[in-house]
Amino acid sequence: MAALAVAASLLMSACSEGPRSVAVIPRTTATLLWEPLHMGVAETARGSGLHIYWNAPPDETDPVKQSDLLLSCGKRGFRGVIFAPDQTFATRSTVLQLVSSKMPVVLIDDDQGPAPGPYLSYVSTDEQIGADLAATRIAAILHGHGSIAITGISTSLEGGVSREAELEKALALRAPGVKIVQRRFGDALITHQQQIAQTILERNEPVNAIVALTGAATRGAFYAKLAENPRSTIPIVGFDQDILVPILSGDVDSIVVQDTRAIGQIAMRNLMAQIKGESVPGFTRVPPLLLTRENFDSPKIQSLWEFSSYRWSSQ
Amino acid sequence: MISRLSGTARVTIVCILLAMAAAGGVTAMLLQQRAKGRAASRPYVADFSQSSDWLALGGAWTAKGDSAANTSEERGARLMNRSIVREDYQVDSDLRLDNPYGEAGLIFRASEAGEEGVDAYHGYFAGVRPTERVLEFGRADFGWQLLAQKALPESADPTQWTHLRAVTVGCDFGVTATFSDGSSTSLAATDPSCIGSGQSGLRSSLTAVRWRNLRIAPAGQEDLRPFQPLLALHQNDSTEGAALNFTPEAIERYISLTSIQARQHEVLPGVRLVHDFLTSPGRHPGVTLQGEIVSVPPLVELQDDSGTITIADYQSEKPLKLGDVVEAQGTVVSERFRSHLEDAKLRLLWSDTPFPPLSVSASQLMDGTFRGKAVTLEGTLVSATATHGGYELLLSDQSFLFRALASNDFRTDFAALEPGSRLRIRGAATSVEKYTNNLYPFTVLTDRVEVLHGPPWWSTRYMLWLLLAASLVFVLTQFLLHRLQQWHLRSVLREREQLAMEMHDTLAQSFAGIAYQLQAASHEKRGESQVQAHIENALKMVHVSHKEARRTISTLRPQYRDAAAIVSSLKETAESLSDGGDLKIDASMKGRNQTLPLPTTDALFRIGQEAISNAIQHSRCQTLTISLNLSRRETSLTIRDDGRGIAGDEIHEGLGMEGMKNRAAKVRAELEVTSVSGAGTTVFVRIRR
Repeated sequence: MAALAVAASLLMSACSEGPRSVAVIPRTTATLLWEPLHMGVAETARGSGLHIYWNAPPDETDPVKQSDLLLSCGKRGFRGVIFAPDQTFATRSTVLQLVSSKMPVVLIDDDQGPAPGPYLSYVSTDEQIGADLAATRIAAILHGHGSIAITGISTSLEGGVSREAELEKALALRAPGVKIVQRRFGDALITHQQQIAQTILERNEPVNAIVALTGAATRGAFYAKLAENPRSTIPIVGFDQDILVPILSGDVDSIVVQDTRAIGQIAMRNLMAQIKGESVPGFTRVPPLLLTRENFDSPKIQSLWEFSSYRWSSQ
Repeated sequence: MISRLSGTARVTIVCILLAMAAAGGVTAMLLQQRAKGRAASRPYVADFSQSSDWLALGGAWTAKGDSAANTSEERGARLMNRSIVREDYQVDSDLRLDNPYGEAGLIFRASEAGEEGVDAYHGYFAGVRPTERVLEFGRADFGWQLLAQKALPESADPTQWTHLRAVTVGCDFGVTATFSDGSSTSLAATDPSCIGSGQSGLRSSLTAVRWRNLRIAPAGQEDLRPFQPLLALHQNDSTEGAALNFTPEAIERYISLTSIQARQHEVLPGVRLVHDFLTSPGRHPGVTLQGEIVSVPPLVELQDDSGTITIADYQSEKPLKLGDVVEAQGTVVSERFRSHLEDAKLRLLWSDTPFPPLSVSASQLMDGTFRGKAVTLEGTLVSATATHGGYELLLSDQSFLFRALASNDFRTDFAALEPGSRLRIRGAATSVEKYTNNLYPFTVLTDRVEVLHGPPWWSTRYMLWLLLAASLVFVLTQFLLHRLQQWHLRSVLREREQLAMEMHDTLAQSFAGIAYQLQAASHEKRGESQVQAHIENALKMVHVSHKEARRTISTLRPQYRDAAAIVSSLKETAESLSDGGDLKIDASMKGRNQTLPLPTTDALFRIGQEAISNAIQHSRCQTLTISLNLSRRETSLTIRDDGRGIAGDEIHEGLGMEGMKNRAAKVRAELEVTSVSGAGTTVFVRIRR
């Protein structure tokens, strides 16, 4: 009987993550955008006794795999989930399933739709502030006049749509003399984004600047500039940190970076409170930062990259 | 057999079996440990053709003998060895990157490495990063911690064969990369709270890579000696592992390498879109297309932003792989809103992460919208058939039946493809007759098969098995019931036979004697006294018969079938026969009282009765001892007197010996009669269980 009990308990432990684990599923891992979130979560959870399971598809364009991973969280006995959806609607049902099974969920960087409640809260970048930072920068670069192209409009994400809308509003306010002459949809394929940027650079009436709304679109615009002969000097204002060197080389003027470390900290605090049954704010907006060559070495910006020396074995 | 054993005996047998099983288990573990120890002391040379030893996580892996390749540029793709787990060892391998960017190297001391994800394992990685021109070493714990980094030599070219060596002893690590031009670089690091043991594997990111000659061998301090100066430096300089390097030289190198990559990805001038030809039937020679390969031979499909086209025949300098972006020049043949490219000359522009497949259903593939595109779809497996170098699957989804063709790879265990399983397949669908045989609406040329879940328990096959098992149980139960009834009937008949024999031996004989005496009395002519003698004899026989009948009845009653009742009954018999004389009778029982089988009770009582009768009538004894001994293995009865003893020849003949022997033989008992002249006689009977 004792042997059976031991075997049963071993089987149980093999099939379950245990009662002290929470899952964090970003869009992908090992990138400048998502690893600060990892660090923010891990440093907040440190000492709480909660173990962090961190994983995501290697490719940001794989919503099926991400959905499978999220679905497995419900079966693996996690205490809660922090989740950044690839696409707004692809995982809405799974999120609702988790919430209805009373699993605390914190959604990152996307307003999926379901109202927040005891088991669901949202933490995301304040797109209004981000758009304002970008519009102000464009106004400064172009001295209030010129034309721009907007690339990387992500329609599969609520955050992507609202980012574009906020940018247009901010441009109208901060730079009414700047005209948007091109609006291009975006995906996560760099080469595709490069080719889109290439068509913009080669159009008969060149634009004065490109605003790239995603990390992939920013990288694509940067690559398109490099491929031009002679090298294009068109300013790029990007969103979401994916590359840093072009800021120092001057190929990218600035990037509106998400403070994903702070987002991770708040999300983990929310999750711990939700697990305890405490109430948390339904929506939390975290202001982004404008990364430029001038503030590249500032402590606030540098604090985002501290993840590279973090000891993950303690998470 | 077991049912006839006592509870204690059963417990003993179970304990012995458990002890034997435990001993067997321990022995097997010791043998396994010994075998492991022997294996751990020998070098392991990788044979990638043993696909069961390897687990592919991400990527598109191919292998032959001592070489393996990942043709995909997926981030963090791994091929993990499942058979070797070691502590202190060195891993050696040659590797060659297809591109001057990305990252590739070796994983060691890895655990929990069965999940896809860029750093989804616990373990160490050492590899080269051409873009940053560094050799790097670090630790993955579902997050990457850089432990050491070293610049590559100026002339080093990781796109040529490079030898990588990683040594791990205790918590010290050394890594060396030796390049094709003979230049090399080394680094070392100490991880104070290191991972002690684990598996080895291959890993790449953002580039296709080939490996060969992977060798894993035991390592000791002497293997780490060349790294000792670097280890001392690492311990004194904690900044060596700094991840972000933004020196002007590094920035210039990065921009230079990225420019090469960016120029490769430009849209070529004069390129047409696939969609342009769908509504223009006819042949269109001299067309240039640019797109990504979404399906590889036997069905080659090229996809651009507008659609897909089948490449019917082609020439290419390199074998095609998923994600290759190519320039294709040839003749587009467009008919019935479908087109294909003939006489194509393919030029590889660059390799990319394959297009994310669209998730579709079988019904969506029916209308042709998604044909030729990279798709994933689910289906229930109807049948799986092995073919040369791969396998053919027949799947159903809702009411649609379709076919899939796949090649053998590390990801799919053909044996795991059970009919009824739900599968998710990835690939490109086609309705070309060559692949559908005009039997199926479409065929999917598959590059990945994933088993979502096995067949449901209530499938026809399982139900048949269940029915078969239930039938077997029913038949077995009936058989056992029949055997039980037979056994019961035999027991009843045996008891009846016993009773009949008993009555024959006692009552029938007595009645015969009584009848004889009464008949003799009726025919007696010699006078009244002789008649009276016959009647008295008959009366004596009636008394004896009455007593026999009472005893027989008593042995049949359950309460007289326990061991204590035998002793008290024999004592009563002795007291009755001694008729109030001064014979000292000592009756005792050793062991726990228990119910005995009827044949045993009868044999013991009869033999005891005969022995007591002989002792009282013939031995002139003063003391008579009756002792019954009960143990788990046997039951024995001893009748001992202190009389004059029996002459040697009388022991074997006379004195009812024959009857006692017969009764003993019926229950397979041992009977011993020993007598010493002037010192008494002992009758001993033992029945083993």
